[in-house]
Amino acid sequence: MLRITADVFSGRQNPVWTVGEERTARNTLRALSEGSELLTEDAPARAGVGFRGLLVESLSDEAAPDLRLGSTTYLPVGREAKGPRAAELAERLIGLLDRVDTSLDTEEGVSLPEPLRPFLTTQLTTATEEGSRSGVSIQEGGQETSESFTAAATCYYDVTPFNPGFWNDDQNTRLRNNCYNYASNWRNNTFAQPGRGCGSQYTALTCAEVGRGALCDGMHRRYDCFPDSEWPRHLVALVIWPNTDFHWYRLQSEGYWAHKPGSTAARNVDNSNRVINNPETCDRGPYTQFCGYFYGCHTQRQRIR
Amino acid sequence: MDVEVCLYSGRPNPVFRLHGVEREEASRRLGALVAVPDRSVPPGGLGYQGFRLRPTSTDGSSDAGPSEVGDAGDQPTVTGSSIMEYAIGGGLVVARGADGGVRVSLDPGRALERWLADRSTRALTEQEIRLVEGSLASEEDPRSDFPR
Repeated sequence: MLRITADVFSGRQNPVWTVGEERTARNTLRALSEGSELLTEDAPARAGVGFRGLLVESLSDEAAPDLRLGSTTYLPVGREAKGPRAAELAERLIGLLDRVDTSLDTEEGVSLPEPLRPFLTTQLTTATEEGSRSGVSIQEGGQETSESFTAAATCYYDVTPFNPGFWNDDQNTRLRNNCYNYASNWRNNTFAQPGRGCGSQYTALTCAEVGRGALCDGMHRRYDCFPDSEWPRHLVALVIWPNTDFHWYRLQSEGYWAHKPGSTAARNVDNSNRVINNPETCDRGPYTQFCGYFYGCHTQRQRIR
Repeated sequence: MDVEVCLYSGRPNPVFRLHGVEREEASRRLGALVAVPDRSVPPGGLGYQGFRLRPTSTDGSSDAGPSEVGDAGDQPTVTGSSIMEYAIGGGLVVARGADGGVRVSLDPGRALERWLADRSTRALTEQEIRLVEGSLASEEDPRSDFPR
């Protein structure tokens, strides 16, 4: 027998159903085992509200002796999903609700949304859409980093796939958006200048002044965390051509950094045509001064001008 | 005919305009270029990259520019009216068409780039003039051997 819990509510009891038929239980466990890379031992600590995942408990140890699954396993969905197939597996688990040998376990006096299956399917769709929208959230801090200090706080930032066509395909877009637009992931055709959006543009082309302008727009220095509500919180890096110009890089979900030098095309390579794995050490031409890392956020990017 | 001096990433680049005789001369020089088939377009980067010339002014007024980019064997001709911009630098001229097509030509000795640099001084600061002159002095045709 299998017991499945939809981890969807915060205050009230989660829906729980039991699959009684052994063959169905075994086939379900086999499907989970084949997607073991999508599973975790327990619910993620930071899953937030909404449909977080499904807890699957095997109620007998003979259910699947040849399947390498623990007696309990968890399938995260939405933004914590381990892959696109997680939603497919979740749908299969929810689909078991329609089987005649499945019983819904409810505590006395507790009512669940009726009908339950379409309710959970809708919740799953919403969570999956939000998950794909948010790309990947990365936790950092509280550990050794390349920075010279250990962060006191644990921060999350968000990364999205490199999408140069969004910036390069249209000539007007390419010409009217610069490195600060790209770092902020905000294509508003303003050739944005740090601080201009908040009414206090930089007054010198130094790390301190351009950084001040970006902070005024709403960026934070690295390890000064933003809440989830400020999605997307991009990790960006500022460099300076001393007393001449500024430039920004943004970390992508592929693990490399990308940038848009002024009105030219967005790219993920440096001046030596090498993929940028580290903005501190890549070939930056005359932009010799590395100022440090910042987090962008939703409020900041809407403010840039 | 607007010309942008490609120097900066964050700040807006200096821009100047070619009128009258200068515009005719630019059209003549562009029209004399011979396209190189199957040539890769160098990615460019940070720092001085050359000049970007737009036959159509940014205010929307039409400026025919050159009638065509010289033909290269059986390559199709890119007519001036379809060209959105020319990127001139490092010994190459990259013409980008309105349809996204690209034609690459050689600029031997960076002659066209140097001609534009001479005209750009009216729009540049002393520091910017030194940056452009420094780049033109240090490298003869840095991109002309960019891999095909």
